[in-house]
Amino acid sequence: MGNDLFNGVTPSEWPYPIKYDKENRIDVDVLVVGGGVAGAMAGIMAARRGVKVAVVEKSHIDISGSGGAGLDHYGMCISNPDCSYTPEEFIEALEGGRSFFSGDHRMYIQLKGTWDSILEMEKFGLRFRDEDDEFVGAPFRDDKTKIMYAYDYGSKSTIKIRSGADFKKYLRIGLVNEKNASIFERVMITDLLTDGGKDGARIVGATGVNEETGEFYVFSAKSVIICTSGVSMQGTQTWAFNLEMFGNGYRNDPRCTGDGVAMAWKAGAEFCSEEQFGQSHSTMPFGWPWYGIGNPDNTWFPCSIVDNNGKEMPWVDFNGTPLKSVDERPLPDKGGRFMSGYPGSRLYIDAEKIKSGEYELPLWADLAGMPEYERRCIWGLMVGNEGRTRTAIYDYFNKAGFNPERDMLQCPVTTPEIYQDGRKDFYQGEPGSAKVWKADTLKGVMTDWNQMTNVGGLFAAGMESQQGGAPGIASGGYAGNRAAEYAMNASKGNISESQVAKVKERVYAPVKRLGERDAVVNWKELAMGMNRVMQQDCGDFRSLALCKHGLMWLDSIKKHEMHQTYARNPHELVRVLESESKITVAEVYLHLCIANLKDKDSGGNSGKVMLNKFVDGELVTTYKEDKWWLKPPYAPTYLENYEKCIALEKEGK
Amino acid sequence: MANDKAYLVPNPIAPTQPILIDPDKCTACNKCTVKCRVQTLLPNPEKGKPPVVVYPEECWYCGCCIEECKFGAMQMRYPINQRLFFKRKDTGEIFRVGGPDAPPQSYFKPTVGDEY
Repeated sequence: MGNDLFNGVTPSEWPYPIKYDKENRIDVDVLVVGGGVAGAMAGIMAARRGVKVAVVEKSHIDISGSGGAGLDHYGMCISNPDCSYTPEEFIEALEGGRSFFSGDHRMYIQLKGTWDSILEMEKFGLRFRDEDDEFVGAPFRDDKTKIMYAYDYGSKSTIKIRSGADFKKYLRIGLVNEKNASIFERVMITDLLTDGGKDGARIVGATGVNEETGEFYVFSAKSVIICTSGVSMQGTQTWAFNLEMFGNGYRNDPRCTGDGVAMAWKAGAEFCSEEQFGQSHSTMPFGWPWYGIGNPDNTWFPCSIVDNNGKEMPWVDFNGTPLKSVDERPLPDKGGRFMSGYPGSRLYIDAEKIKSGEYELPLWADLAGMPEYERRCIWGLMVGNEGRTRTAIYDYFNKAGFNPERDMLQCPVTTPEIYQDGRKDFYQGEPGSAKVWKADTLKGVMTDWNQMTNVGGLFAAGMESQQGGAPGIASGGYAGNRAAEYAMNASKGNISESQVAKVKERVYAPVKRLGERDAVVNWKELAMGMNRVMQQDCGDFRSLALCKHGLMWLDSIKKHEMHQTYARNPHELVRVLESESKITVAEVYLHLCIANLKDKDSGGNSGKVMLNKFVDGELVTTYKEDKWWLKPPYAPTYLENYEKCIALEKEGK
Repeated sequence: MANDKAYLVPNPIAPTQPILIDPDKCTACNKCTVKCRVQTLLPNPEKGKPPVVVYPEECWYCGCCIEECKFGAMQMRYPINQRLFFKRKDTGEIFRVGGPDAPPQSYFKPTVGDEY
């Protein structure tokens, strides 16, 4: 009995030189893990403070991360002087529960910094103003600044981006300009290194492996910023029970595999625990190409939707006030200062009218019937620049004969109730019948006013600290500054060679055991094994016993099948390591579920903030006061804390 | 390829073939492989030949590789289950993206802000 590594087929040579034995040692002040929008800006801002920086990216900075394939709007530009409200007012409104965000110091940091960061991006070449005067007279255009606003034209907090399809290319320009910053691409960071190799000590570096050559890296640094996004907040791909044909339907970069979550958890970082798990319909492999279906939301807002006979669906605001014209759809709620809820939820489709036959399915997105400025904006500006749309939707559909001036695009068919609820299932196109498991919002690693975790020298930015999307850039820049300041005052740490050796043994095990009789587990099987555990034990119905059962199951996989994995090249090696990250993330979810269930059993500590970390093999749950970020030792207002944190940066020190 | 030949090969890797490469236009510069986040494309081990679509099932359909190709040698291809309909408003005709009787391209405006 043997293990045929190649299914009977003669393999080709790997196209890159193989250097599994090579080790690179790099010494910097600040190490940035992940070169997406947050990581790239973190690298730029840290380097500007005069410290030596390395930005390490698993793929290529031009295109990496969930923002790496384009970006059509820049949200939360609330510090924009023309915005009708302030960051403080926005946080207050969030506390009123009228949004899907929650307000805290991390949110405030991005609200303060997002406008500055888009101006910074403009210096790198990003264009968000209508310089060619293509949209003169359009209701979303400000004639003085030539800025074009998105979604809520009244409050002016979100800005449309004209060249967003190339967003990351501009960020790379900014990074390359910084002489203190070096870029490492195709390198996956695998493990954090602690001072002297001691558990719980401050972070002094990290290890990595190259996915083209297989060579090894040891970075030493005084501070490390984790910017690896992914499962921390929108962990939608964590346990889809399908790894084939995954790409078209889901939103996040498939390289977001939770490496940062796994590393931070192992390092003892505290995590928020307001998680939601269970069956859900969203951005999963049964879906449609994002933004490539008729729908009323997001990039397609405020597109008219008509039934199969051309009957137009009505629009209403949050309070139920009818919005009679196209131009009224993107305005604040009647009597309010901004638009509440998802823009597309303003479309109201009466389920009963579908059932009775008054509205006939399928529905169609009537681009042809829109005023020219909105049509050109939806199809040319937004779909033209959003993630994965310039080539995969705009160009592809145009070539396929689709003409936005003449045509309507079909909306996906789903149940009448889902249309009526305005659920994301409709505009993301997930069939209501598909049962997919996901974690909706793990709010990630908790960070303080400096965006540092409870672990010394370990910072987090972007989605990793609940600050995703374009505003993640602001959080990245802020964390870059704070991590640089930390590094200026920190001594050089002690890299433990025995810790490095241990990591190396784990990292290269799938290569070393290649060809052994029981090396029969490939990376996909390993990930699917984890998927099954989570579907069974972390679904809609959860209990303490089930969560513990899930942990036992994962532990069993870790002790058995994880020692049977193989990798035939550096690509497969990195995929195995990513699957191992996913298994750790699954454990994090289960632990957080246990903490939540125990909290409920004990009557709950409502109003307090629960934090969880893993120390010496045990889950440790602690509580902080509600709004602890405005209580001693911190100042009582958001602004005071913020200004204190950026004081050194402002002085140019 | 002669149709009287059969091959001992594993099954198709995925129910999709996301990228088609025109070997007559491709110069084997391999720039597309640099811009693929998942290594769906890798350089051909045989120098001078087009990249190999070796991991099609990992494709994210982001189109970054195609945007990088200055020779127009690459084309994206959606799987059947991702091809929806569109309806011509004035005539009521219905076509499917990539369908057999899809109309010729009639809209040619570049995207707003296209530079690269």
